[in-house]
Amino acid sequence: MNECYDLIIVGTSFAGSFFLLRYLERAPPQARVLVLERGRVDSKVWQLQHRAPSSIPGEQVYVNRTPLKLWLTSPGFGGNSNCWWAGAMRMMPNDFKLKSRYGVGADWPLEYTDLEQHYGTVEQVMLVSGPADVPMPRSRPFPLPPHRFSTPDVLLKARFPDSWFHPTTARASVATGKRGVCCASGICELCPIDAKFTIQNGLAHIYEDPRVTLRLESPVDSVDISAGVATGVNYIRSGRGERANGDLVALAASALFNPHIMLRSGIHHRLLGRRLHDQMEVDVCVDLHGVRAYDGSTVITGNGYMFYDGEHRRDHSACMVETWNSPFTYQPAALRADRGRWNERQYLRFIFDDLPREDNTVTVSASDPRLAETTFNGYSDYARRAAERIPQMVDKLALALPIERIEGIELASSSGHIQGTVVMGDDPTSSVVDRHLVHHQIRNLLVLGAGAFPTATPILPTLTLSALSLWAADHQLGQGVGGGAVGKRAR
Amino acid sequence: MMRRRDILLAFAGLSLTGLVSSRLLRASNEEGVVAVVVKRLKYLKLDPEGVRNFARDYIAGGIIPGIKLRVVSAAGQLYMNLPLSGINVLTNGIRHGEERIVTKYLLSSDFFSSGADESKTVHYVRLFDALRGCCNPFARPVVETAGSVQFAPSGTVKEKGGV
Ligand SMILES: Cc1cc2nc3c(=O)[nH]c(=O)nc-3n(C[C@H](O)[C@H](O)[C@H](O)COP(=O)(O)OP(=O)(O)OC[C@H]3O[C@@H](n4cnc5c(N)ncnc54)[C@H](O)[C@@H]3O)c2cc1C
Repeated sequence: MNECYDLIIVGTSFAGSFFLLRYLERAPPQARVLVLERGRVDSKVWQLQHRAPSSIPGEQVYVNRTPLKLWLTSPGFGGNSNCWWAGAMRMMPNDFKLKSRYGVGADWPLEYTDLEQHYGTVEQVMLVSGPADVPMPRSRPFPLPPHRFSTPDVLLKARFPDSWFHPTTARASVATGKRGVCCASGICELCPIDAKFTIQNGLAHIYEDPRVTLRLESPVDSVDISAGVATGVNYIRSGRGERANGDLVALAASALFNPHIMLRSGIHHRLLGRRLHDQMEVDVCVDLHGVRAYDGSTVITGNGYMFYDGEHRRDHSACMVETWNSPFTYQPAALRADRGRWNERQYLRFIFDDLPREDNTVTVSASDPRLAETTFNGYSDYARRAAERIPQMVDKLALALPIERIEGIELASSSGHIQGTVVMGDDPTSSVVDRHLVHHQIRNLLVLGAGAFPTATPILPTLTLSALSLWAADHQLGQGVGGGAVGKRAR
Repeated sequence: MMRRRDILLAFAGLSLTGLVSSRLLRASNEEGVVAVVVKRLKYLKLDPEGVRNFARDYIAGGIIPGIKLRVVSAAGQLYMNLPLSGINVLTNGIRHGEERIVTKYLLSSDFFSSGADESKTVHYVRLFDALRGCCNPFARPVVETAGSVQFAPSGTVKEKGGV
C-alpha cells in the first residue's frame, strides 16, 4: 500500500530544511511529512577521516559535458551545507530590479522588503556574523559580532569607508557554545573545527520532530502528475522502486537536480533546465609593499562594493570584491620567498554576476536517465565586459593598498553557486514557478532553491534561497491553515 | 657553406638535447624540491636533512607535476644561478611555482612558530595540512583571549520514522 503524507520534501539541505523549519512551526500535531534524501549522513568525523564532504562522488549523480566548468555537489544529509564556505550576505535592493532599473536581465517578482524579515530569521538560525554598517537595509543587528579585518582590509576601509565592509558570514566569529570559532584554516569545505553553520550542526533537530519521517539513501526519480495535480513521488529504496502519496510536494534537490526530476516527470517548459549559471569569479594575486596580510580572523575578511551598484550595470556586471585571508589550500603560492616579506601578498577575488544564457543547460542524460547532464557554453558578454575592467579596478584598490605588482590573474573554474534552471516570474510563458515558488500549472508542486533566481548577483546565493524557502512556506501555511493545501490530510 | 653550418648546429642541438635528457633521466623530483627551497630561502639557516624529508613527503603528496621538478633538478647550477627578478610570463610562472613549494615548506616548518627568527635554524616539522585545524600562523581571532571552542562531534542524525 502506498504511504500518504501532507507534505513530501525532496532534499535535506538549505532549501528543504528552512522550508521544513517554518512548516513545523505552524503545521498541526497530526501532520505527516516525508523527507527523501538521496545520500547518507556523512558525519563530520566521517568527512574528516575521508577528507571528503560526501561519500557519493559528483560523477555518480551527473554527467558534465563541459568538464572545464565544474558544478560542485555533495549528495547526502545536509547537501552542500557540508561543503559550503558560509558566505551569507543579503542581496542588494536593486538586485531585484535589474530590468526596470538598468534595462538588462529580468526583474525578480518580489522585492527586498518582501524578504527582509526572512533574511533576519535565517541569519539568526545560522548565527551570522557581520558589521553594523553593511549597505543592505536591516531591521535587526547581526547575531554575532564582525570578524577581525586583516591589515589590508583596515587600509581599504580607511580609503573606502562607504564601500568596504567586514564579511557577513556563517563562520562563527566568537564562541557559540556549539560550533568552533573560525581560525582561518582556509579549508572550509571540510572545516576541521566545525565553525561554519551546516544543517548537521544547526538544523538536524527538526528531523527529530515526531511528524517527520526521514528516508536516507532514497533518490527520487519523478513526481506523479495527474490532471495537473502532483499526487506523489517515485523513489528508489534498497534497489526497489517505491511510491509515496502527498498533498503537497516540495522539490529541494538544488538547481541541478530539481529540473532533472521535473523533466523525468514529464513536466516541460521552454526554460526548464535552461539558464544554468553561477557567478564569474576571477582571482587576482597582488604583491604588496610593506603591508602584511593574512592577519584577520576568518578565511575572507573583507567585502568591497565599490564596483557593485550603479549605472554601469546597464553595460556590464556588478562586481563584489573579497579579500582572502587564508589562501593556503586554493591559492597555494600564498607566501612570497623574499626575505622578511613572506605575507606581503594579497589574493583578491572579483565576483561578477552573469546574465543567464539559455544554451547553458541541465538535461536528462540520454545514456542513463538517472543522471543529470550539464552543458556550459560560456559566460555572458555582460560578465566578460566587466571582467575586462579588472586592471582599472586593481588601480582603484591601489589607492588604498601599496600594490607592487600583479602576480597572477586566474579565472576560477566554479563558484559552486548553481542557479537559474527553474526560473520564477509572474508570467507563465517566461517562468516556470511563480513568486511563491509554486509551479504555474501544478499548484501543489513547489520548487525551492536558487534554480528560481531570475538573475544572479555577485552576492552568494544561499542566504537568499533559504529566506525564499521561509517566504514560500509562509505562503503555503497562510493558505493551508485557513483551509488550503497544507495540513489538509492532518485535519 | 650554409649547409655545413646547419649540420654543425644540428649536431650541437642534438648533443645539448642528449645532455639535458640524460640529466633528466637521472634527475629526481626530490632534488628539484630541495633545489627550490635552498635557492629561494638561502638567507635562512636550513636543516639539510629536514629539507630532504620535506621534499620526500611533498613528492609523496603528488602536489606538483614531476616533470617540472625534474627539469629544475636537471638544470643544476644553471637553475641555481637563474635570475628571476624580471617580470614576464616565463619568470612569473617559475616564481609562482617556486613559491608554492616555499609556502608549503615554511608552513611545514617551525619557522613561524619560532617567531620568524632568521638567526635560528629552521626545522621541518611535518607536511602542512590545513585539516589539522587552526594552523594559519598569521590569523588573529576576534577576541584575543578566548581560546577557540574545541570541536566535539555531536551525535549523528539517523534515519527515522515508521512506514
Ligand atoms: C565549495 C562550495 C562553496 C560554497 N560556498 C558558498 C558560500 O560561501 N556562500 C553561499 O551562499 N553559497 C555557497 N555555496 C553554494 C551553496 O552550497 C548552495 O547555494 C546551497 O547548498 C544550495 O542549497 P540547496 O538546498 O538548494 O541544494 P544542495 O545544497 O545542493 O542540496 C540538495 C539536496 O538534495 C539532495 N538530492 C539531490 N537530488 C536528489 C534526488 N533525486 N532525490 C533525493 N534527494 C536528492 C542532495 O543529496 C542534497 O541533500 C558553495 C558551494 C560549494 C560547492
